Amino acid sequence: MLKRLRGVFSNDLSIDLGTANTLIYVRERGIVLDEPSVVAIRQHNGQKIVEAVGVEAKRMLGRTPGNITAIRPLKDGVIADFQVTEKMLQHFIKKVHENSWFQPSPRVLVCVPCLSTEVEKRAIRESALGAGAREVRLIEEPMAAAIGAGLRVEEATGSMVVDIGGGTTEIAIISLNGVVYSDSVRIGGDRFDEAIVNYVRRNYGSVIGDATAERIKQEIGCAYAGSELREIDVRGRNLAEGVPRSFTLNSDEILEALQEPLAGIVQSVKSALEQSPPELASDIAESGIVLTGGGALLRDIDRLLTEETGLPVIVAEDPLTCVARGGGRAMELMDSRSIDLLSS
Amino acid sequence: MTSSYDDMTVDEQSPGRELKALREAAGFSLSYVADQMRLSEAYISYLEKDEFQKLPTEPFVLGYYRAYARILNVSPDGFIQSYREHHRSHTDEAEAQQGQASRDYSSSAYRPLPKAEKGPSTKKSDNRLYGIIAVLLVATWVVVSLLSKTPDTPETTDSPEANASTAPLAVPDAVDTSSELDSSDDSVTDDADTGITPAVSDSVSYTGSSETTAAPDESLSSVTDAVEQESFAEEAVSEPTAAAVQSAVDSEPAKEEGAGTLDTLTFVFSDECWLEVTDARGDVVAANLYQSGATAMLEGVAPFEVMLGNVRAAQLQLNGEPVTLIPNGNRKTLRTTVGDQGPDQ
Repeated sequence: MLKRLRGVFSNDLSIDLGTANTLIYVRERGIVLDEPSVVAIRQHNGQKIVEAVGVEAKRMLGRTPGNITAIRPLKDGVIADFQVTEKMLQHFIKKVHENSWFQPSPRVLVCVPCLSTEVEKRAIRESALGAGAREVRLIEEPMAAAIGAGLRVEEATGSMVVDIGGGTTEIAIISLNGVVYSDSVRIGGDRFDEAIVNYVRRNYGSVIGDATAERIKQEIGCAYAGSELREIDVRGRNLAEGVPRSFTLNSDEILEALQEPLAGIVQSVKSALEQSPPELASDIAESGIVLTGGGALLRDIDRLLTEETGLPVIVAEDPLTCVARGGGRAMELMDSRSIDLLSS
Repeated sequence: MTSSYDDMTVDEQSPGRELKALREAAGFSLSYVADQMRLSEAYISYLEKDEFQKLPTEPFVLGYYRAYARILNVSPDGFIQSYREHHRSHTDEAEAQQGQASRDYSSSAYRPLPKAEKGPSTKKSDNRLYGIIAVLLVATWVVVSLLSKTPDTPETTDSPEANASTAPLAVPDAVDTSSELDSSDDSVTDDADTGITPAVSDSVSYTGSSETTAAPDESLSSVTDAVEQESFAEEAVSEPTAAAVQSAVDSEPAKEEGAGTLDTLTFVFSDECWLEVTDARGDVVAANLYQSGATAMLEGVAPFEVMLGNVRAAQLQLNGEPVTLIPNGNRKTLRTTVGDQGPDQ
């Protein structure tokens, strides 16, 4: 009852609870929060206290003293640490309602990976409820991504969405408000970073942190051999000498480093095309595949997929926020037309 | 369609013409571009002719522009910008023609952001308005309920008066039937007597319920008197009825008040005792500490709310009739109603 009253003063939220970043979309206000899914926890007298959440906590990642641990509570698109996720959501929901008198109690739509199990879905729902939500709806990420990208999901036309997130890559073929085929591979931005770290260790004998690897990926990373060559100066700890050393990496080296995870994504896109019904496959061949998610920002990843599949591949507008925006619109659609967009 | 750089300057808003001009300048054929983009030649020509209705939705068109620009080795921003302007002006025209009636699922959901967000924003503000109204209503209700608690007791004590005011309603009905009988028959006196009988019984039954023992006789006589006098006078039918009703109305409250003042409570105390008496009108008749041997004569309208501090030290008479006060177990105090169902408590 009280939750309902408080709910009048809360906004409806669409949350893209991602492995790397959490985005919150609020009706009529757009994307109001885009922060890394990181929580820093301080151990104090055997008690765990939340030290920082989001950007602040990410800055601490890999730089913490013994009593503080910076945790990423989600792994491979699903909750790895239930309590910390709940705390993080609570913090984000509060942050979105900063100027409200009441404790917020919003209706929340959370995007979940398409092959997540009932246990994983339940964990997400429970943690959202624990964070103060009065009603929780779930939507599959590729569906939200397709709506957010502006595809006409309600039409009897097949659309293929590849959402490359931090932890997973979701591939789905959508038609008539439903998912015809979906697949989820545990390859994403994190795997790219990992691959870069491994490459640098192998070839330069130096260790770099995840944050540095991410910076390398964002600045010079590319997915296609014919791309423009770029260089970056990085510093890492030399394994043999044990002291920090500076060295230069170029984009071809990063392409080589990323070969394995990229091949995994290409393979699953191809198998999705193999599995799709012929009518839908012809629709996709005509208009193309849409890329969303942070991974779509990797330079020339669309060219790689075009070359590999022989189909037109386009990157959606503002691919990072597609899922959150799509979730927001899905919520409006569910309200206005009571369409059940795979929510449960 | 002959397009050149000159055409392009004539209509700078057309991204398609610009693309075509750049392609021809670079010496690429339509099929080469289509092959590079993995699209059909038809799609490329639609793109160059700005025939967007034949192309898929906006995100695809923007993607095609990016891919085309990459082949031409130019920045796609200019094309996308001019496409947006071009597209906006076209959709505005289309909307003006179609009106708002054709706001279907796709158009409402996938229009460029500023328009799509208009609906929900008003909905949300409505929601907030409802919330504030609800809170205000709750607040008013609380205030009203708090204020109405104070005049609560007088209202209940007023109820006998309210009963008294309804009393005449029963009597006029009875008199009406009697007067009808009067007008129909010539043998006035006999029929008047028989006609009055139900009226009398009605009024007796009512006055009995209002617990006034002296009342029935008076009201009965007044009603019969009025009817008899008027019927003997043999006047018009409507007048005697009205007069009878009037006299009946007059007699009733007078009798009620007279009966109320008649009730007398007499307390004789054998020991020190606190006494508080409230009568039916809500008046506090007595609130005092009485010493041993004291006598209290109180007048008011029955029933009385009596509170005694030492019940065993008090003897009570109502209108001269002794009333037995039964103590409540071992307690010294007693709160009771006297004259509620006659003085036989």
